Amino acid sequence: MRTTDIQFSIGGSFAHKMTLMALLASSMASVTLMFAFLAFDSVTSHTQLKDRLATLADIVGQNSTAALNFDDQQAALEVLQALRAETPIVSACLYAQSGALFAEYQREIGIHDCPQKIEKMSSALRGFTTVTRTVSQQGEVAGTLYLKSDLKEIQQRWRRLLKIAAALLILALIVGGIAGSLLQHRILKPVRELAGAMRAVTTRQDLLARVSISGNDEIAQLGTGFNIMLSELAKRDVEKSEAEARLQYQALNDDLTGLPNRRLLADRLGHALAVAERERHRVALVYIDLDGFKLVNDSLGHAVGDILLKEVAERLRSRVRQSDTLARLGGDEFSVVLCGLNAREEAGVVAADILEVLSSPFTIENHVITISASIGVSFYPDNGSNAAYLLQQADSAMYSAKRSGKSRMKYFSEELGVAARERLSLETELRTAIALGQIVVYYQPEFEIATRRLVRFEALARWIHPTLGTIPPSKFIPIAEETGIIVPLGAYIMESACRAALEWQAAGPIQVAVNVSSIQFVRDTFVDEVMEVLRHTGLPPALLQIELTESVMLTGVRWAADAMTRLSALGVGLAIDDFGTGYSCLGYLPHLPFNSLKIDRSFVNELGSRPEIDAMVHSLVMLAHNLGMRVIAEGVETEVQFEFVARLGCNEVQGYLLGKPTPTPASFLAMRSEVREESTVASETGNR
Amino acid sequence: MDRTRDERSVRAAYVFNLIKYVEWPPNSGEVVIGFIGSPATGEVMQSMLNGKTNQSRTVKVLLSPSNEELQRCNIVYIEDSQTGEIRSALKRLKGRDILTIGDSESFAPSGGMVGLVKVGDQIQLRVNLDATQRSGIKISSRVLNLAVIVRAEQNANN
Repeated sequence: MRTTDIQFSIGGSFAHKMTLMALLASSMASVTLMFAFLAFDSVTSHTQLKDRLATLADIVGQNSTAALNFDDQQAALEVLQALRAETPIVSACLYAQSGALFAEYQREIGIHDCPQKIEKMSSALRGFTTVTRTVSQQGEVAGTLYLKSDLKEIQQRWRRLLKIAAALLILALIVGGIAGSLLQHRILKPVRELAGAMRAVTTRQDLLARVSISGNDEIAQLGTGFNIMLSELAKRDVEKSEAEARLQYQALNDDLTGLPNRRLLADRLGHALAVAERERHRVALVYIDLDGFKLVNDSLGHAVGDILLKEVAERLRSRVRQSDTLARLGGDEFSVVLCGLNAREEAGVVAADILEVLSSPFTIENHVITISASIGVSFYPDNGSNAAYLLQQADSAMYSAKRSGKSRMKYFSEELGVAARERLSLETELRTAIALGQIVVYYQPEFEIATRRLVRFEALARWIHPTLGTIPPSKFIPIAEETGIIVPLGAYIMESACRAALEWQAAGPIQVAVNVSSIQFVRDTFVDEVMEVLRHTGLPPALLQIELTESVMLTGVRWAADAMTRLSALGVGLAIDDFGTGYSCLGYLPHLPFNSLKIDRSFVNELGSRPEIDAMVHSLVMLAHNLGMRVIAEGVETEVQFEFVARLGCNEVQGYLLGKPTPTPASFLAMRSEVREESTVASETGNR
Repeated sequence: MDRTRDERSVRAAYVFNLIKYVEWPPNSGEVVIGFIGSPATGEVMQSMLNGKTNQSRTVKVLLSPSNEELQRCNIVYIEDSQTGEIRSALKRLKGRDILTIGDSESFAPSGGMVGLVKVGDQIQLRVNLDATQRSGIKISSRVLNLAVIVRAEQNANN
């Protein structure tokens, strides 16, 4: 319709052409007929005139034989005078047998057309026709008669016929015109109907319209063709609209779960906000992020991850009202728009419900998977009226929930907003911090309890921010991990630590402990990078201790074991950091080549206050020792704590009591030198 | 005399021409003309017409025919000089299929059929229709058109 523009100007040229054609045909036929008739008439008139002249000559000749025979000129004249009744005859000349003019007749008085002696008469006089007859009686020649006739009568007849012909022609034209226009009206009626139907289809876009067909002529065929075309178009239209519907569904819905996607959510949220504004209700935007989904995906594969997402979607659906929009924002993030709320707590109930429904384990392909979710909630109008901002705020709240230990819900607050903005600006500045020399490595000493000797420094990064001052790792390392800056940052710290450690060796074999993020560690090239640093700094591998958290195990125990075994084979020490705070799972411990286990400061802090903590730490120390590991207590700040950990059997200590992190560990080295002088026993440290 | 002879010739031609316009009931192979009159005229007539054929009939001229010869005649020409004999001759021929021709003005009115009367330069035909109608002779209307029709005088009929 839009590409093929069919135009029929029915009222105009086509109809006129048809009428014109009818007129032309009828007038041509008439003219031809008339000329044929006139020509025929002319020939017959001439022949008739000739015949008439011949007959007249015969009669007059017969009648004048006696006059000739009896030399009666008077009688002959009288006979000839009888020709007066015959108007076309101009003259008649009667010659005696001798050839002398015997009698003559002239139509016009005073004219003597006849020669005195008979002569050869021209029969081809222009405008005349002549006839010459021998006058005889009973076979005997008595004389000759010569008749001359003009053609005026024929010409007059001709003129009359021409007039009639012209009149007939005009009449034919009029009749032809009327008949033609009536005929074209009749013939073009179906064409006009067809054109009308086409226009109707075009203007109303009505592909279900059909042309009624009568007869079996070309126009009927055209109509049939048109109908076929319409049904084809209609079919294509249906297919197209189906495809469009499919595309639209795909554009607005998530393939995997069938839930609305981010776009549709934004649309629904916008709509919900408009309704809420009118009805003065609250709208809550609930932002759900699964905890540990990435680990499931990485360890059990995408297929399992996808099924998990589907089942999560099902569970969420079961807890959300029909009127509320549940959407998948992508990855492991979901969102719910709750409409018509009066109090914020109503959203809290839904969030708690969601946390509860996700808490029971999922069983997928024989794997029992336990996950949780971090939920952030923002409100209209409390936190704003812009859909995009609300989404951002709910995201910030969710992030905050995640940071606060996961599996919980947080409402958005202005502080969170500030924190989020701060975080964003930090993220930007962190990218240039290494190059600007703002990352400085501090070293905190670790001592062997038995010998009280300095055995190791733990490298701890500090961000010396030009305006915010010193920023602790707990604040910027997560940012670095999320943004991937941790890779260059980690490499920088490793390099710095190894170089520093090399300088300490004058004071004795002192190790350097470097914290490695799971994100660094899971990279294929990590072990090679460590080897390269050791090679070009020249630090003996035994003087490097790499500290990993339990989360490393979650990325895949087997793979982690391979990397650790390679490092261990080099002689690099391995410590498990912050033990007891993460997803502690004792099962993997016997399979991994850890040298040391670091007890988290949170346990150390509570030692002596809660007997069960004491018992647990004691058990841990025993376990570690049984597995051939040394135990390092972190965060020892008081003499009491020191006594405790010493009594529980910890091998080494670290904490403010013994030394804070410092960018210049020289004083501790001096201490070490003194100790060295004091003691002649060079016991093995850091190695099993 | 030339003039007379010329006139005689014209009369002879007239007689000959008349044959074409006259029908006799029994058509025989010849046309017999009986001449009653002066020998001079008879000779002209005889010399001009005898032996000629007219409508495939041979013309035969008998001068001063006898009564028997008269019976065979188709035409009898009676010259006006013989006025005295006209009536008796006509009486004899009355009722017969014989065309009687004479040249006097009184011929036709006296019971003759055709008179060739000289009027001025012309010779005029005078036909007595009663006489022709009494006989079985038919004269063509064309001749009749040329002729002056005359009536028989009362006394002549008697």
